[in-house]
Amino acid sequence: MLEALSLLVYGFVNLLTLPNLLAIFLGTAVGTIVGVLPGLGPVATMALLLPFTFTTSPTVGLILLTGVFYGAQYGGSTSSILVNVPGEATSVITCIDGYQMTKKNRAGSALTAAALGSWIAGTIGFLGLTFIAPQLARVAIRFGPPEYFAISLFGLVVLANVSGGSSIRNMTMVLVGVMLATVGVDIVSGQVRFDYGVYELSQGIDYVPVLIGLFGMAEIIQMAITREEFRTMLDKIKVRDMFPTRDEWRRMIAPMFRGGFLGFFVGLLPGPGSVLSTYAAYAVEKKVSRHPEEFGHGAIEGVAGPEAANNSAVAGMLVILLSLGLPFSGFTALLLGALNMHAIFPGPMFIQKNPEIFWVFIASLYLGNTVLLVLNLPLVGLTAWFLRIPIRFLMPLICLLCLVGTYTLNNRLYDVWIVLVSGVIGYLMRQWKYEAAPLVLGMVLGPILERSLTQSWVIFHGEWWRFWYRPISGVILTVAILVPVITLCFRMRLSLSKDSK
Amino acid sequence: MLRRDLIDGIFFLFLGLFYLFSGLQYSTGRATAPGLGLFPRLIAIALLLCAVAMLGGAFVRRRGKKNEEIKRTERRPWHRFLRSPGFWVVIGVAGYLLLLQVFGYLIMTTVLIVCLGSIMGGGSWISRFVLAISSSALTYWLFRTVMQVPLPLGGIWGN
Repeated sequence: MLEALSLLVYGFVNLLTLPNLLAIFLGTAVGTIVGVLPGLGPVATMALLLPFTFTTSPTVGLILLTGVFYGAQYGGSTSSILVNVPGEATSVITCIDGYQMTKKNRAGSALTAAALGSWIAGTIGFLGLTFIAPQLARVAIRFGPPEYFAISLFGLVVLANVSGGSSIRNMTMVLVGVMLATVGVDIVSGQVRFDYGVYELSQGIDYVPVLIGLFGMAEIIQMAITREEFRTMLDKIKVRDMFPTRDEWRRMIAPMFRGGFLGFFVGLLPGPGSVLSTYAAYAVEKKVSRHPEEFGHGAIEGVAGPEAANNSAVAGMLVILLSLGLPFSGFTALLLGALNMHAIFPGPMFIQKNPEIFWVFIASLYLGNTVLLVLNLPLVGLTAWFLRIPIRFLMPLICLLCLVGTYTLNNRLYDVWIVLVSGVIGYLMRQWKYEAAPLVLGMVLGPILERSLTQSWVIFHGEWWRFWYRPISGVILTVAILVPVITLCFRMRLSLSKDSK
Repeated sequence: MLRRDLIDGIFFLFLGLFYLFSGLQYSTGRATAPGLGLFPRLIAIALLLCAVAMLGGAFVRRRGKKNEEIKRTERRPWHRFLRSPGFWVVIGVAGYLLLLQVFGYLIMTTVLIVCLGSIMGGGSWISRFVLAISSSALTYWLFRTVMQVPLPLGGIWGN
């Protein structure tokens, strides 16, 4: 623990360079704006900023991209509270009580609860990251290909079951993603597969353009169809109205801490941790509250808890990425891509080999968290101003950024065509109630899954049951098999009890 | 009328079969040296199983009490998309990509922004052109000068 603290101090000292500080301010500001504006989303924005990180150091790139993501967690609450439209998926639950508070002229209190809760929980989460990630990395050094195969498979299976909607559909999307990842050069043998004689396909299908298409271009198509404007719903926010009453202070402090711990542990699990944590936190707060009848009608606990949870979940997700090298969400998949572009590979040896990156990055999270508190409290009027921009200006600009940003990845139009095709597919997937995240994660984890399976196959001489001879891989694989079985049984039981009523 | 799951199940069944047969050309190798075809074959089988599960679920629900008709608004999203402004966004972007290397980044981006602004509606033509010219110039400067990314200049101008 003392070692981690001294290394954290080292991180803070080395953080104080102009590029690092600029990255913090730029990342958090862009993230807050993206979070406020319903549409583009933090993951698609991170993908658009990815080319900018080519010209920076890996630390600066990591700080910039992460700042966008957790800035969006802060910013998403602003539009949820003020206009009842969630800026991000993680702010959906905040609409329920946040907007009700706005209708009762308590918008300032709601915004304060959201921002302060995010800061407290973010700090809790980052403390968890500081002390747990190095320990987990030490344990993970003993992991071999069988363990990585088991964890990757577990991640995809759990993701399919918790992403919302039908598990079968999510699993199908995961498999389609894995399928797309097999197109191009095989990472083990170096030979080309599934190119059908097309040169571009022999280069493979990069997951970043697919991600931009599914999340960004699909949203642009949706914007063109719905043309929803938010500025007419916005009232002027006054800073002096930001202070909660004494009773509100008393009621929101405990949910912030509960949300902080809950969000961190949910973030450790595969799947959309920051989204799931908000639902879990809301359910917990409603359960323990002395005023459960107020939930849905402007309970401040219903804002503080979920908003706290979604921020600390970010730290949980980072623990798995930095100590195991496994991305279980679109956010961490992009961070992995950014690091890989600099030939840095997160995993058990990452912290030991790159302490100057890891500890400076951790220090930047604390500072960025504080910057966000300033952006989202006294300056919330400024960030909310972005909601006033007419959609006819926003949509073309976002579309342009999607296209040009993708082109800059590899300087080829093929990637931009993938964005367009993925955008159409992504829009139709939404209409047909298919989730996009499982597909993207299938593309990201597919190569890891294949490599670890192939290596395990060689180690075990084809005797696949030997996965259960190793305790860690055996336990994780067993859980991975049991999760869909238990989920199926649970749903069948629910269905039968509904039928009997 | 076919439920959505039935159509989806058939689609993924054909996709799985297509992937399986495409992968047959690659060998699965030996126990000590797995080939290119091992992993794709496992994925194809898993996909086929999911498709069968989807079809099975669709048939069970058709026979059970939850056999609801698909609401009119949920039917045929393809048809609604083709008649929506979203379709014209896709056409506009496709045209942009096809002509980008002919006319170059600055001209095509200006045209694209004006078109997208028109599709969104509202505002004047002047505001659309101002936005288009300023955003194409700014992004050109940002990507070409600052990030050193070679954007297409247009073959028609001899580049």
